[in-house]
Amino acid sequence: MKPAAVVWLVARREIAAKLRDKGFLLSTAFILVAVLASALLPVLLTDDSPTYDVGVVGVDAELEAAVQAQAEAAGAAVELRSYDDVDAARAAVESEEIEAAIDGEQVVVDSALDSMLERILNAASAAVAAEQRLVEVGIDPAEVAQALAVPPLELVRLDADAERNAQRQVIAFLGVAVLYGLLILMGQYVAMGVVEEKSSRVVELLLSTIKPWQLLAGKVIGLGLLGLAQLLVVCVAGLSAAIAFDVVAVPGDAIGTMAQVIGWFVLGYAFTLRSSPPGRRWCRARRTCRASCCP
Amino acid sequence: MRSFEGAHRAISYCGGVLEFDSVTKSYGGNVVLDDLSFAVQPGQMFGFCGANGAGKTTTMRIALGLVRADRGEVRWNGRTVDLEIRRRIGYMPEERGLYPKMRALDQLSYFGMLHGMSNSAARQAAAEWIDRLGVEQRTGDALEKLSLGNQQRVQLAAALVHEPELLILDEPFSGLDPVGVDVLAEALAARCRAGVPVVFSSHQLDLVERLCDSVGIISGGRLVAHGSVSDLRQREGKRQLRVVAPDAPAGWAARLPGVHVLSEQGPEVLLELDDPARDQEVLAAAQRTGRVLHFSWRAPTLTELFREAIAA
Repeated sequence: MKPAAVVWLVARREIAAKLRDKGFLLSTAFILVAVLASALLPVLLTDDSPTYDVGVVGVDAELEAAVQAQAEAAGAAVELRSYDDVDAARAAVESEEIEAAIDGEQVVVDSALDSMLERILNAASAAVAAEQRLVEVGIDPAEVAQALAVPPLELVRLDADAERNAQRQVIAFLGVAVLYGLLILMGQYVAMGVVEEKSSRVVELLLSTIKPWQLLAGKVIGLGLLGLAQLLVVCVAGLSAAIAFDVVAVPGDAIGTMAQVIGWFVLGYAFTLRSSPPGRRWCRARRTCRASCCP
Repeated sequence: MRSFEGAHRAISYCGGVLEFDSVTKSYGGNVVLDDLSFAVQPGQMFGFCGANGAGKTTTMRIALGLVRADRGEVRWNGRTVDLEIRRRIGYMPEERGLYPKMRALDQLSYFGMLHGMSNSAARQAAAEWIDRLGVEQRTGDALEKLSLGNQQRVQLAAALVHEPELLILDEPFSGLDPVGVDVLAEALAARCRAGVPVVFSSHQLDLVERLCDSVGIISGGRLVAHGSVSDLRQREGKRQLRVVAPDAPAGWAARLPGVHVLSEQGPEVLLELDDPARDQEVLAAAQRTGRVLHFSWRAPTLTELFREAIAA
């Protein structure tokens, strides 16, 4: 039997044994869920266009128009409900039918006012008050409306790749976290495999048939391939979900970063094992095999 | 008991000779094996006996390349045993060990392939040996879920699955129930009939006596007795004379010159003679006391030979 065939045989056994190992399958599922959650949860939990229910005591067409205008500018939606008196409005707030009620110059809330809704109501109130005061001093309402129709500030980014870089940073952070976890996990699997063969004493049977370095090489290669496959599954699943939910603006960048993560896994795995006790033992075994036990 | 004819048919070679030639091994100043030499012939079942620490396991581990001898070598058919030859050896270590979470069929296939079998041939052989050795298991059971006796049978199957040309087994009968002993003994006998030399160590000397064609007794790293069981008995057996003389007075034999009484139970005495040629004088002395119902040289058991050999 050629040494490569022996090494591959050992590697295949390692892969098959791990694929039947519930601990390995659970750890893969855990990593996958963790990556998907960290990529998608911020998006799913952030409501970009919130909707608010707000009560108004009496009828105030100007205020209603101003609130709708401010809400539209902020990217939110406000549904205004009219109440006959302040008690009815307060009762609606207490029963959580509405989030806030406007009573003249007061805003009634149960405990706290959402910051976006607060900005919308304050801006609307200020706009109505300013319009009234300008009309009172004799300015034509049409001119007032024209003067107050100020477009929002245009955002000019000096760093054209700022958004892209932020996305890269997030993907790189997730990739490094997965890389770090998998490198530690795979190193542990190799060490545990060596300990298991030693403690179950099967190593005596194995070493009567194959050389120590072949056994360790098969173990390292098998578990390394498994780790690589695990990383690929996590990367592909994470990226697919991120693209599907429109989390990443430039998929090409994300794919490039993930490719780098996979490349670093190969290098990191080799370095981790080379500097680990089994790795040192492997090198020592290769050097001394012929002299010590394998004529 | 199951038939081993399938295994018998599968062997097409005639077997070879295993030789230990002046094998010496020391750990520090402690000499474990001292110029050990013996050979096991094709189809011979060789029982390797010795007290704990006598060097049996070290001898076997040297043959399997797990320990390097300081001097001497182990040869198979005249060629120094190397990795290629070791792949054709079936080995059962003293410290049993298989993968606990792997199914018996899978790990027997794995060991078969490590010994050079193809995947399909290894799986077929593994299934056959599981059946032949009567391993009781449910499909899909990991090894750790089997009883200890069944695990022991799987361990034996791991040594046999690749149809080895030579079997080296360290304490194979240890821990087996009587049925297991019979199954294993029949399996080994089938291999011997196929021309495979079988070397096994055991403290169960009655088993060794019953099964082995040849026996080696090792003590202090040296082979102190070696040969077929009948030869050893023949060589050592003339020393003990069994006489049954019901009319003889107690102590009658002790008075004879050159005669030592080993035991006396009623009319039966067991004697040792300084000169075996003087047995007829003992017979005459017994007849002078009256009737002689029994007079014979008694063949010692292997246990007695063993005790005598390691005490020498």
